[in-house]
Amino acid sequence: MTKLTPKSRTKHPPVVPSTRDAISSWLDVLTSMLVVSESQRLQIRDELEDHLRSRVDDLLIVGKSEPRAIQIAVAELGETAELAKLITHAHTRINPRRKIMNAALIAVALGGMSFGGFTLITGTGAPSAPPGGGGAVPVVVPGDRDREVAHESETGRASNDLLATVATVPVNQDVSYFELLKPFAEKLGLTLEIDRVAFHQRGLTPTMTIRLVNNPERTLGQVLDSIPNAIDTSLWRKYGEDDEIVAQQIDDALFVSTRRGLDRRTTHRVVYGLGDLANPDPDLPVLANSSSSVLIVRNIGSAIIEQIRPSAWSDLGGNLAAMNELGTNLVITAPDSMHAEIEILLADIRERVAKQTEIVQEQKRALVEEQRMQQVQRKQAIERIRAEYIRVRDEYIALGNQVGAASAKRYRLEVELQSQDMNSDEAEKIEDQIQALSTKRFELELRRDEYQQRYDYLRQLLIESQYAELFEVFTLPDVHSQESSTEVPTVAVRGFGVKAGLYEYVPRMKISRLLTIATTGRDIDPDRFVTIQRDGAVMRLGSIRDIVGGHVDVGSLMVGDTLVIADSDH
Amino acid sequence: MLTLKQDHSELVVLSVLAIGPSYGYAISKAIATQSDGYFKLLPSAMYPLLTKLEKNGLVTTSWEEVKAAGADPDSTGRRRKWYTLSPKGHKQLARRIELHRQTQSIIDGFVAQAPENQLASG
Repeated sequence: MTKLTPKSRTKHPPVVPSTRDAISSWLDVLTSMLVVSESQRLQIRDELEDHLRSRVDDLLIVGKSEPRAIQIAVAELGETAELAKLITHAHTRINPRRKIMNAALIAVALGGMSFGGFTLITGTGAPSAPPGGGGAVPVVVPGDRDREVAHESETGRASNDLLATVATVPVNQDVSYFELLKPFAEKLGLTLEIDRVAFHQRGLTPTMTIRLVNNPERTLGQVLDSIPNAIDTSLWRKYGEDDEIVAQQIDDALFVSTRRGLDRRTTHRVVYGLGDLANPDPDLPVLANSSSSVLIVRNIGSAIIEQIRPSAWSDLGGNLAAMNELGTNLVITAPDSMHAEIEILLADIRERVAKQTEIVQEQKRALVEEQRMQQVQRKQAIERIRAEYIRVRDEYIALGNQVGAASAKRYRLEVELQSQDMNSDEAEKIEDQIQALSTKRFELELRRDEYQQRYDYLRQLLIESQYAELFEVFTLPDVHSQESSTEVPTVAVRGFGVKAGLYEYVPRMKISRLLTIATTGRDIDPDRFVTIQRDGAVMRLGSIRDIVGGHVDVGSLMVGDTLVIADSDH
Repeated sequence: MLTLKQDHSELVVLSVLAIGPSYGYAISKAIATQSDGYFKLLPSAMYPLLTKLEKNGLVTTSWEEVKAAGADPDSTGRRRKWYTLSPKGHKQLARRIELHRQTQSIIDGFVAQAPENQLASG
């Protein structure tokens, strides 16, 4: 069996590639619903993936098809949201024993707690807890091991100063530990308070004696190291780190005890206000897995228990520290030494959150600036559309007027031709003029039609972009290239009464086919003439009747072709 | 088939793990097999239960990498979570078995006193 740690997890390639997609997709959905830490999420995913693939393997053996096997295996896991809820609950709930202990703590705590920030609560009910006995941090004197010095008590003197205090102690005579320690208390101007119960548990009784020889000038640290000499050296090994002799100034007393005793002596309750962490920026990734402030506080509580002397907590069978949640606060009863570690851990979390907040705020600022720039660009684009729209509209109107003028002039010439008695040369001349006017009008109409379509397009674009601005979903179009708005190759049909517009280009599509599509269902004169614009040239093709009826073969379409159906009189 | 209730499922799962370390799917199969298909522990109940047992220190866990038969030997397999009964779990199982036997004995006492005709008509 290969042992893996959670940290060694990497994205695994599929064991059965053909089943990976369906199973992985389902796992993606499920894990996205879990409200747990990222490491827990990965472990849950791995475990369920193993379950599903094992089940699928079994079902394949009994003859199920692969899709059916996956369907059965997933269905057996139950409704996804419900499963996610149950798993989340299992990973986040507090065990019943903790709830009972916390209920008792809440009852005591409500008597005197104040909320907000970092509030010290005194008077815990601990057996030896003094009134107001808080803020002190133990100085540990671990015999011949390295000395661990915690930070200075607010009311006491510096730890090293305390341990370095020199006093004249009795030498060359058998004395009790009380007589050895008393000179230091006197030197420091403190009362001596020895935790006799803790000493007794350490195997030290008041009647035991210690004999120091030669130099009577000793430091407190040296004397503390010497006290265990009172018991038989063969017994030393049975005592652990918690039984080491330690000293600390607490208020006006020099308190000497074992580390365990000092922990009990300095145990008090602190309400840790976590409102700032429990209601973070919702975009903050560091706590994004927690869906509510309660869960965030619970996660922080779990982190404290797991990180700081786990065996001390009542949750894990210890008897030194207890924790309960109260809104966005954690009420923790623990020794000073643990409170100091909790403070450091919370400071680390806050520092991390602050950094994340800074990053998120920077991203938000950048996003706001980007949105502002986009808004400016939108407005500029809309103005360009509006200007182009006005220009095209004016041109369209002007072309309409020119078509009208050409028609009127041709009409006058036709009347003139019919009503006056003129010779053949003059008549031919007028007929030439009429023909020239017809050609000119036809060209004007083509241009007018083109402008009309562009006018319609821009008007629609302007309306859409103004609406889009309201909903901020506008994408900037290229106002100078109507065709560029689509990557699909197109052909166009123009003319009054037909289904004008852009059509998707289909290779080898006959012109007659497009003409049929553009005119079917419309009341169109079949004698109207059709021209085609291709690569800047205009070619006359024939009447709708001839083309659609197959009387003339006009060939196939090319990308960008424009069919123009002229008025019936052409 | 009966779906195991939570109270029974903990006893059953601890009993399965008392035989030896196992993993989620194998535990559910063992329960179905050993009860001739009579009992079924749904995954939606089993995995939260295993999490609870782990959090309470009744089981310890470890991870194994497994590969499908015929898989590329150089490829990384999927991960399997193994559960092993801890000493605390053994004690808990012993307590649960004792409690179960006491309860069973008391219920048997009631059942034994039921009138024969009641049993026959039932």
